[in-house]
Amino acid sequence: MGLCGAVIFGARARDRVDENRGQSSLEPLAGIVASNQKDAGGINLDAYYDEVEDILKAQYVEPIKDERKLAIGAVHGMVSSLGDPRSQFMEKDAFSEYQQAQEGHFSGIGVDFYLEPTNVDLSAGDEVASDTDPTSDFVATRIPRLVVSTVIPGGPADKAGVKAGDWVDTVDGHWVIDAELIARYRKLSLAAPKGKAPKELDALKKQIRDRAEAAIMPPRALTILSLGSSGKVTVTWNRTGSAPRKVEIQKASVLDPGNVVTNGVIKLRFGKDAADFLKSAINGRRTVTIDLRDQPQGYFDSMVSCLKQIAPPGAYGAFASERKGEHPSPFVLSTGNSAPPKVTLLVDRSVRGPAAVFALALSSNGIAKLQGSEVSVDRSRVVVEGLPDGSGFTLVTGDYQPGIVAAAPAKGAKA
Amino acid sequence: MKILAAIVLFFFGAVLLFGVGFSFRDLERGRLPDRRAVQALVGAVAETAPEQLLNHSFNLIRSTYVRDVKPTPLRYAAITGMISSLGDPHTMYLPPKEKEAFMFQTSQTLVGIGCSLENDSRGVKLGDVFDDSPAMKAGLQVGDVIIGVDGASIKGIARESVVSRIRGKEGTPVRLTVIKATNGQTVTVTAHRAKVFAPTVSSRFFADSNVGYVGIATFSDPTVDQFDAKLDGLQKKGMKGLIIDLRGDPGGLLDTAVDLLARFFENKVVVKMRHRDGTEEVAATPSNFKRNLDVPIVILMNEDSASASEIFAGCMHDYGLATLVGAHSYGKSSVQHIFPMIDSAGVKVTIAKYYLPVTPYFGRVVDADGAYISGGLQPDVSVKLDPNIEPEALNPKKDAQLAKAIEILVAKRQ
Repeated sequence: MGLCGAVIFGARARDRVDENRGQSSLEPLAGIVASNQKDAGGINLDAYYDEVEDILKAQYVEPIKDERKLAIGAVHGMVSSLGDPRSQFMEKDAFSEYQQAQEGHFSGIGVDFYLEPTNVDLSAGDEVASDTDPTSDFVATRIPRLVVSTVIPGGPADKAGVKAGDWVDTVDGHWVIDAELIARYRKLSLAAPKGKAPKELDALKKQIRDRAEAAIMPPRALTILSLGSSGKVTVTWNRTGSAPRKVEIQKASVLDPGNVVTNGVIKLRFGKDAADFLKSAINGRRTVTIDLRDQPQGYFDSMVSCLKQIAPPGAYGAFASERKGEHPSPFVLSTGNSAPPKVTLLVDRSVRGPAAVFALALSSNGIAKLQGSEVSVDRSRVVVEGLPDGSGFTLVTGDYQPGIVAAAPAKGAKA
Repeated sequence: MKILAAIVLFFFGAVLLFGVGFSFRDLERGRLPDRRAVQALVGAVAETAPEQLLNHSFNLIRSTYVRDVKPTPLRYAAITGMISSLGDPHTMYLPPKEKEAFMFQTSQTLVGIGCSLENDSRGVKLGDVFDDSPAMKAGLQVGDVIIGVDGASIKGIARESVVSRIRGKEGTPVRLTVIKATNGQTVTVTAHRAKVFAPTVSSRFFADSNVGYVGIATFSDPTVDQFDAKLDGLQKKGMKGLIIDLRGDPGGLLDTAVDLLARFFENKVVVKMRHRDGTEEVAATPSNFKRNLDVPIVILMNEDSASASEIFAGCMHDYGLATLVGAHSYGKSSVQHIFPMIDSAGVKVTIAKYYLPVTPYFGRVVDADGAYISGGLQPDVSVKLDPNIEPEALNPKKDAQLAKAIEILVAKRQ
């Protein structure tokens, strides 16, 4: 018998547990800054990668046809390991949809979503506080929430009464895993006396168990809701202060009314052609009103080009990072419009990312006045990186702080 | 075709022009230069080398991400992601720490006295005493309370610490002060530590239905002997039907599965193992181990029954020897090998698939989130457990699957 001694792993190995670990774990982030390929263990990434690739090529039960797929898988793993909802890897279809949306072409239910980091208080007991193992089930309490940031006017979700700030509870009967519910259960069960579970805990346990039967992760729900222009999807929405609402939505393609001038108000979207549009829309006028609300997130570079159409060269605050020992990098316009018009910006909470930076940079320098309510707290600078197979990822590189003039201008964000 | 020829010529031309690393003789022989090298020369960027892709993203994250990122975890994440892209849940990267834990799980041997301990206000109470263990040889019984180890009191000491005091080198003696459950007297006994195997087989005789029950927790080395012993006992009691419970059994050694199956049929194929190069290995049952057992058999299984469990259940089913009851099994139908890396990490790789005698390939298929789509052995009689009932071992009233198994066996007799 040639098989003698062969161990069918999965035995005491408990593959099912390992399987979960196989997914990228959320690594705690801290440490040194260096961009040398060799890491702390003195191991060269390339050589290490090649070694694993050789093993797979020689031994894996299926032939490895596409080496590039392995490399892109590695990039996927690295981006996911950041555990940051604003830094996301997207498969080919999702990334294509993401790029389309920046130009105003929405499919799915016509909503721009935002993965909101959860800040669940885990200080229920010592056991919780000391639980820092990234592979523990505690990771579940860090799952972000799928929140509506923008509803495209006239789109399917708009017609169904969805509002910015609503968040997704279920999609086609699948529960979008909710960190808060899991944390609440965890806290209650830790606080409960041994052997005696309160009724509330039992109810919560049953609720989670029933829902977990068909659960999906928020990024997948995001894909389901954002892709496709036909077919129906049933969504349960949560809204602060109201009961959950279940609606059936017909998917459709919808073009958001950005980059248009209506009654003298410029509706601006930071897609690729934003600066050209803005230039022609201003057309020498001395007083302009720009509506930044209800638009897709947009590209940082496009926003900078638009800023140059309006603002004179100079310093416009800085981008701060959480890197140890790193000073905020100043946000400087090297060129610009030396005769800026008087600008009014229409803003509210839906104004985020590049648009929020745009609004704050102009208002803090006295070039524009803001009208409406406060902009979103999301003021991040995000790099968008496309990969050769059509997939891509976003990476947060800094958070905008208006009014700060950085002390060390060595690493300026040249614009 | 003309266009293609033109492009090839253009590339050739470029190479000749720059003359880097490629000779006319290579061209004469009709060998094409490395495509990526050509593209680099002519400035084409259609294809990015995998290593470039990896390094670019690695450096981008390290140098521009809003927070500091340590290089070692980022490398682990890269390799994890690379291997995940294969879509096989059993092929995985094991960073050094996880590999250590994994190896311990698959090869653990334990040296001790062979009993399980429960908390007790006086010390620790013996919950179970394994057959043929040093504890049994020293006369210890279930319910005895250990209050001292090597002359020192263990009152108020955590159970885990007591366990580590009792464990030690193989062959060395340990002196235990014990309150006997039978008469409450305190005695001192000496046990000699030895390699112990936790019991992997449990049994029960349901007298009211004359049904025997054997539960297999895992397929390890001592399982075969333990299985024989339990079956002998049940046959002596005159059982008229047999339940083999594989629920929650994650598998283990293939040899053990083959040896157990040899108790039920001889000289027949158990599994075919197929490698990527098409080579096949076949495992079959040896002769002369078949038991004289002529009773109907039900096998209980669920989604936690995997690998060797599935081979056992699948063969019994394929040869018409058992009815499968419960829920579909896990769907583990592949063999893995661990390849060590220089930093004491490991890469666990699926190197072969295996096939049952009749049942077609039943490998587990999962969606992007790891949720079950298909695969595993399907039960002949599907029975769901009520999630609101806390399961209780060996109580048919609180275990609908066990109750169904008994019902089927009783019905088969009539």
